[in-house]
Amino acid sequence: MQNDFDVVIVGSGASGGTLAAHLARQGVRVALVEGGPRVNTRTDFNTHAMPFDFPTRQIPTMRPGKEGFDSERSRGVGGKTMLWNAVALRLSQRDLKGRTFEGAGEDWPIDYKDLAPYYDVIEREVGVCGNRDGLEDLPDGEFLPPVPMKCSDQIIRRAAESLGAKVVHVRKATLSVASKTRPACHFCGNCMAGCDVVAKYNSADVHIAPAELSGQVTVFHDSIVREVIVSDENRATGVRYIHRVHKREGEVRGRTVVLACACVQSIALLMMSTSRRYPNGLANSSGQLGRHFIPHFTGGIECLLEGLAGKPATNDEGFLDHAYLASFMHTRKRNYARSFGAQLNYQNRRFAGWAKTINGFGRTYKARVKAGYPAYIQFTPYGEMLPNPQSFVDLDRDRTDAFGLPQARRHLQWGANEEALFNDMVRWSLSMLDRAGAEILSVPDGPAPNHELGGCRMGRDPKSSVVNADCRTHDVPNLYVIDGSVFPSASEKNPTHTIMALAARAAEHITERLRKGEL
Amino acid sequence: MNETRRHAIKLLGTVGLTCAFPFAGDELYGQHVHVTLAQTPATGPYTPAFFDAAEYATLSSLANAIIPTTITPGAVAAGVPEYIDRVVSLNAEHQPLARAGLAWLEGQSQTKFSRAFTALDEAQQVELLQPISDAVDRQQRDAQRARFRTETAGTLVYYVAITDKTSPARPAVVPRPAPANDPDLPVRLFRLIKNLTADGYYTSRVGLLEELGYNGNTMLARFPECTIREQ
Repeated sequence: MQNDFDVVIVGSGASGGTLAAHLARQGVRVALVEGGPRVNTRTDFNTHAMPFDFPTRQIPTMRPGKEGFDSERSRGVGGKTMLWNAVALRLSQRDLKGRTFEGAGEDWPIDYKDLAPYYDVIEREVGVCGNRDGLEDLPDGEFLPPVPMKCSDQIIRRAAESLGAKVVHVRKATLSVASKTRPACHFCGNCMAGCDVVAKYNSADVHIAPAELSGQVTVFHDSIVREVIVSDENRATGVRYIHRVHKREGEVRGRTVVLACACVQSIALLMMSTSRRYPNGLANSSGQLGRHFIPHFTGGIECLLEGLAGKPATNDEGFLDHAYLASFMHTRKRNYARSFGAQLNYQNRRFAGWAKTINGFGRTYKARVKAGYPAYIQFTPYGEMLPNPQSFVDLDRDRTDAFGLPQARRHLQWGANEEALFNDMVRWSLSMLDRAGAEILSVPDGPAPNHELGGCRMGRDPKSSVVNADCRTHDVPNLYVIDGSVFPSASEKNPTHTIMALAARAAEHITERLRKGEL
Repeated sequence: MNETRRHAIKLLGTVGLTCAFPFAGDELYGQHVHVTLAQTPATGPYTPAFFDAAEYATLSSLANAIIPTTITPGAVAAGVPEYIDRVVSLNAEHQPLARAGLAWLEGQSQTKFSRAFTALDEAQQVELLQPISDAVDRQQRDAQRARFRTETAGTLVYYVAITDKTSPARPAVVPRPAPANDPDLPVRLFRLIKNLTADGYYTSRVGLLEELGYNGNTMLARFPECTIREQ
């Protein structure tokens, strides 16, 4: 048993890594407990592999003999930031206040002005490229220079503009110019298979490694937390884990416990941490734990742009998407609440699975695919879901993993608002693509869940929420949850930047309480 | 298969890790069994694991009819029959269909032209395959049209697959029998082999580099401004 930490953080991704680094700078002693092994982004991922290197053309995430990112829980130091696409968007005041603005969803208990200084801190610290576009619903930040748009982005931008919508340079936590310690992106085109030069932010290299060097942070890797320990005095005193390799149990003790395991896993861990005081799950006296599960929904469209068909193939993988369709529905008349945005040209060109959908066979078919290759794009709108009672996370105690832990189960039901929003976002997408001269190859089956959010919702009222505005649980005064699960409303924007800002904000709050002796 | 089940399967393994998107283009067709075969250098001719010699010859001719040799090599030269044999041998649900389908194709060839499918000239191949290919395209178009609706009935319950090596394997998919008198057999066969051929060819060195001209996966000092002019 290890005893003398100020803060025990479970999870080492965007939230856990940011929090650990910010606490360490204030002299706080941190234990960072991670279920997976250490992973070296420079050597362990198949970043530069090609499909023909493998007999079944499936490129494994890890190189031979390397372990880690092969499970739901993204086990590995750095969490999902090792493989994320790095889109970094600020939420706007309208995103945070859906109930106030249009009577739908829930308001956050904080305002944009509460988050803005922490968005600034994160942007300065990790480097976010982008353009200052002056859009009300996509607040600007302290950006590195933007990366040029691809040909296809420019075609779609013109089409969107003709319909009154804005396509802007994507904002990503990837360096467009070198920093003191990291090189600029060199556009090798495979960000979501790891970044072997750390031009793209990952928490292991950017936040955790320097914090460990400072001596303030101790990493417990391969330690799968199965329970948060709570004393009879209602204080979280540490966590109990199972070692991933030798399966022995262990404990890490500290004065404060923070769950930063990614949305569904944080919920599951609280649900697994039952006791006499908390028979229905820790921090769940309200019965709200797992409720208000509001993942983003997507519905991607594949198409060929006439303007690029038959042109020579160019090296335009870049750093995946270079452009973003900003939310524009908040100010328009519509028969639903909330809005959508879209990511453009997300694919790399190492695979042409869309060729299956091209008609015919033989010489004509082969020529059509070749002509289509430089013209192929994916257009992926994201919509905001409103909470409903049928959508929640719970544990399936009959279904356990290799460590005997019950598996988390998502229940999801789209409501009338999602149906209307989804139909409208597909309709708008098809209109823009039609103006762009696109031949549509495939349309979505229906909304597909994506970024997972909600379940430990943040709020002022302990009866209707799990954590307060500082991400502290209402029930246990020294237990925090910081990740996508605390989002009271989802917006349509990629959540990681906000999660990191929340972590930076909570770091100040926790440091202050430690100084005052409250923890 | 009901809708909820279909969605549940589609979601396995896609949400948790990298928020991959549910595009047809993001998936290799027909690969439900995910194994990592070692990268082994080719030594000598390939020995099929599933198809017998006659079936493999028919399969090779069919793959090359779908993606023929032009100024660039076709499916056979790109190693597509090997790829298809591997996928079919690893994914049992395709086996009855592939076997019955190739037998049907060979029978048709004998009936119509009194020759093996491998001996048909291009015009004869087209005569035999065109109606089947058209039917496949029609089905796909109808399926796309039918997709313009939102699923609101029922609750979607899903898990994200845990693929830890130590976790129990998912239950095997029960192979659907492909009776020789299934009226849909020609269409099902052609769809299977066309999808596998397209995946295999365009992920091959020949297909991706030589035919399509892939030129990424390299270092660029800066990302170039677009220089292509429309029209």
